[in-house]
Amino acid sequence: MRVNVKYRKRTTPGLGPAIIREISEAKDEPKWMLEHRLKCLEIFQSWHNPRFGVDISDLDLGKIVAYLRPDVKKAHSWDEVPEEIREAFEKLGIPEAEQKVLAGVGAQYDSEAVYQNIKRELESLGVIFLDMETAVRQYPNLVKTYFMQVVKPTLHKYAALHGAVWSGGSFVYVPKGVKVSLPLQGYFMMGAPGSGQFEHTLIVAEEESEVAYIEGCSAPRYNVLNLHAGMVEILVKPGAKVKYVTIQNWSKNTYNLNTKVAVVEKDGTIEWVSGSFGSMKTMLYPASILKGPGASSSFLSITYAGKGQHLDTGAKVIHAAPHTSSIVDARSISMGGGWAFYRGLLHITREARDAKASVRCSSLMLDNESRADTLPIIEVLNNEADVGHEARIGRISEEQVYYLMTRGLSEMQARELIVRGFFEPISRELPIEYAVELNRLIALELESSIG
Amino acid sequence: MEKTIELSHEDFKAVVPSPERFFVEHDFGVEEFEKVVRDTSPLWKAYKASLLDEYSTLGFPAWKRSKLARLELPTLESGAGIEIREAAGVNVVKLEESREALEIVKLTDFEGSDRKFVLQSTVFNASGIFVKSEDERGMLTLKVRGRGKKALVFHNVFLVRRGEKLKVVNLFEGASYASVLNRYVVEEGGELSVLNLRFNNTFGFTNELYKLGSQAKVTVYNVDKPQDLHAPFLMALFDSEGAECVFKSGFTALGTAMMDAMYVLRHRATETRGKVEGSGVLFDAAASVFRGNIEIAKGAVNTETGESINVVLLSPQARADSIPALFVEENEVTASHAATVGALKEEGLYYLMSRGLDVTTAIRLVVGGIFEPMLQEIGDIFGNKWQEVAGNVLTGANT
Amino acid sequence: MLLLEVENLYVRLKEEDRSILNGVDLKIEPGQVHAIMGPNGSGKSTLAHTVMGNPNYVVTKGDIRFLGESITDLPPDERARRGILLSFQQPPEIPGVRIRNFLSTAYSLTKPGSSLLELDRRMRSFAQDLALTSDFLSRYVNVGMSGGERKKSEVIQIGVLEPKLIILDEIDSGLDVDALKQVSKKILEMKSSERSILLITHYSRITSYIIPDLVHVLAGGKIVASGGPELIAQIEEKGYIEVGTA
Repeated sequence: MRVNVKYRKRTTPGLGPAIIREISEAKDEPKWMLEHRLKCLEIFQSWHNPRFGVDISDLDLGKIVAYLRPDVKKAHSWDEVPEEIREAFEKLGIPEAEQKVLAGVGAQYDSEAVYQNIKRELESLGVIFLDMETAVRQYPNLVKTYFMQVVKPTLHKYAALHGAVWSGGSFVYVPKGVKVSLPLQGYFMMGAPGSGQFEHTLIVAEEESEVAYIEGCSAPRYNVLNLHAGMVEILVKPGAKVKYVTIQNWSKNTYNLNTKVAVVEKDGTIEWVSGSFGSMKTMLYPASILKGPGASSSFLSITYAGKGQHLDTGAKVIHAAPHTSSIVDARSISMGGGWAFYRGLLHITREARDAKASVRCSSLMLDNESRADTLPIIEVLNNEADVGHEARIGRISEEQVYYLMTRGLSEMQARELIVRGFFEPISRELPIEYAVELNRLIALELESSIG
Repeated sequence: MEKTIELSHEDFKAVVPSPERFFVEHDFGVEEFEKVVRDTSPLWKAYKASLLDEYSTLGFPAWKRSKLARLELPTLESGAGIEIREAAGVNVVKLEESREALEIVKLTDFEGSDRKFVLQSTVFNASGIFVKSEDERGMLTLKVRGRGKKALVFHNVFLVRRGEKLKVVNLFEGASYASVLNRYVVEEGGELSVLNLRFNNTFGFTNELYKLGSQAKVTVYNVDKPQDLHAPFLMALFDSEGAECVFKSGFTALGTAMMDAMYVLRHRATETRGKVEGSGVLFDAAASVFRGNIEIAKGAVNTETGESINVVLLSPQARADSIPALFVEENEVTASHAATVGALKEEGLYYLMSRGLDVTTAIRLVVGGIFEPMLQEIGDIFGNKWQEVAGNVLTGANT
Repeated sequence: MLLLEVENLYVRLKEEDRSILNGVDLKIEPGQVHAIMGPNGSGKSTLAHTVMGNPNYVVTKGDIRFLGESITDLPPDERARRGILLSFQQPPEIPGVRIRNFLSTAYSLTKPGSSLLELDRRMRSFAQDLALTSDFLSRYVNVGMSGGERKKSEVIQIGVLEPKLIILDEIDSGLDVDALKQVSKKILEMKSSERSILLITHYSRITSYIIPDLVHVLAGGKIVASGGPELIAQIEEKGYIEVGTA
């Protein structure tokens, strides 16, 4: 699918300080942000590639245009969004935002927030929900305090790259005690051939606040390599609750090297719900750092690996304080030659007395062309912790299929139902339109590989 | 060569971590080589010589979890021998006088915990034996005792012939440095039971390969109590239909001892069954790493396999790492794993104390209970004497 | 001299501030059978476990005395050796430890110098009376056992260790009619002028087999009513709330 939109700015392939300055200037950023970008660029250039995971030796960054800015000014309602862009959204099947009850939507089209709409309610509560660039300009002190403090550029090479060329993303700030009842949403899309996506989402939930954020993405298919190296940083202050939902369906030629980390303070809670369907190669390990006593984390994920996909995903949980608890429920389905690799880290520090952690990995293999691996690393340094891990790898039971068929379902319907059942605990956590999209995707993939 | 970790699928390759390397002062070299090959057959000498270069240019792996970079290699005890305590129904010859053994060695080349140790055991072994079963009563007890601050290096090959049985007990204690390589080949319908008792060895590196023929049955019990570090590596190759292999491990570590174990089950044929079971107790500032890799290749239909690891930490300074991994390319299989790490159930201790047991006795009873099922099996297969010895290693004379 | 005296006992859970027992007073003479009844959550099990010395419970006020000596600061094993034994409501599993082995260890610690042959005889005789096969004693403590089997296992321990104070925490739960009869019979056989029994229950069924001398109602962490066995009939008729506030 080709999209005809004028691009205002195109950074030259290959990365150096000059391009970084261009990006920063175009965004009208304060000096500290430019300095931060340059520092990250240095780290990126000197750091080695990850020594585990998918093979990214084919990733040629020289080909990736890091920053694109469509020729539009920021719109405040759907009508203001340029027609070509609205059309592109429609072609992809993303319905007009106003038809759904949403608190606010930042739609990113090729590295730039084009559409913004913050309901008055949020504003009156003091909740800030802006695209990241505007936030840097309007709330410099607030952003500076938190920006890339949870994830340091030295975490890995692509975190540093992100720090240098980040563009777009959302900033969410929820003041003390405020409970945001509707989930905040953002859309991402990669439109141009060879473009990179480096959106940065920063969520700060003050004491006793509550917020849910939904990130969903979809992209058209291209022949050129695509890279997604976004970042999500979440700060859960004492007693706060944050739920972060992602459904990812990058086109099947994308390298998805995303970084997501949440730091949870005393009695805070982080809930990760994640569905990974797309991309060619993914390395994604949302991490929860349970820093304060009583902090808790739950992680639910589905990973689908089909033909031509190598997905290396998992969860990292670090219990760094007493009475912390965590649950990981990671499910994967592989078929048509796909490779789903669960890589998890569960680390209980010496201070984490009375920590409770449980990890459960289930892999469903629909044929013997695919591969399902689990590599959980469990490190326990406290003797008063309770840690358990279990994993199961299996297939659709023929007995179940037969049983459903005796109640009138076709074989395909039976298999689809069983697979949906496998994902149910996670799909029920997703907002309805995602659950629907998820079921549709399952059906499509099953049909294409089995049918 | 049988690689230890191979991660690839169709056109995809994954990045396999490889450790940094370090060199020790006075590593074994030509001098030591000359000493150990004095009585070796020319055929064997040539084979060992061909590996010498590879050994010299390869450094030791700087394993992070066991902090191996602190390793000091003592002088090689080139005259060390293996004591054969009991032998019945077996034919035992010197390893390096046997052509048959050399053929087996060439066919079973593997990487082990690290190529360095496998090479070291193959090139610099002070002695080694080639054991062949002769009938259904095959049994053998081998004993090695440490010799002061010397390095003991051994290389043994065991062959269980079609339909025959062999029981082996390996007792290895008190060595300053031990590097042992054992290759077991079990032919069609053969049955092998092994009991490895390794305790009070300062540094111990064991590499074992089990090659299973059709319907072969193997059970291995590892009873370990390291002094500083013991790093056993066991790999089972299920290359033929219907093979069965169970690896059971029990370990106790005190002080600052470390247990770094790796078990690999490689299922490559149909209808095979595998199991890895580990139980460990850590006192003081001891630590353990338990790596269980279960691999099921495409076509290995109806594999039944699994692993379970259970480690109990008995002190706030202890540390347990578990990495129970599953690598599966065939879906018509049953594969699962479970790992738990925790303290002794307080509830259980209180219950025992409420019947008059003091804390120490209660702990000892519960710890004993952790190893009891495995000890029972050892008694059933190898006799009460060995059950007692194993029990003492695991639960005797603790803090 | 009183066998057990609980004086103005206040108890809370180790990890919480909330007080579960709020001033319990109880006096048990040697040779008596007491029953403590009360609604769920009233603190009956807490009382039993506090007397036994469960580290999860903290005494914030008051004292517990056994044969005249305060035991409030003693660990559970010392209390057991002095002669208190609590039959747990949910006895935990102890994998890999056989009942026989466990009991002989406990026996040699509680009754030093006694003959192990005697112990073996007692164990087998108890098992038989409770309709258990002899290989029951070779099973791992409570592993894979039904509720009834666990309770019987507790009773064997009581019979073997011969405590001065037997505390039965809901021994009737999980027992069918036959099992209840067998268990009650063995307990009654142990009744003597020196030995006392403290029955904790919220159903009155067991009290028709093991008839108490004194009955107490525990509600809201305090004993709100005490009387003879006739109190049970009143509870049946009116319920705990009414009896407690009468």
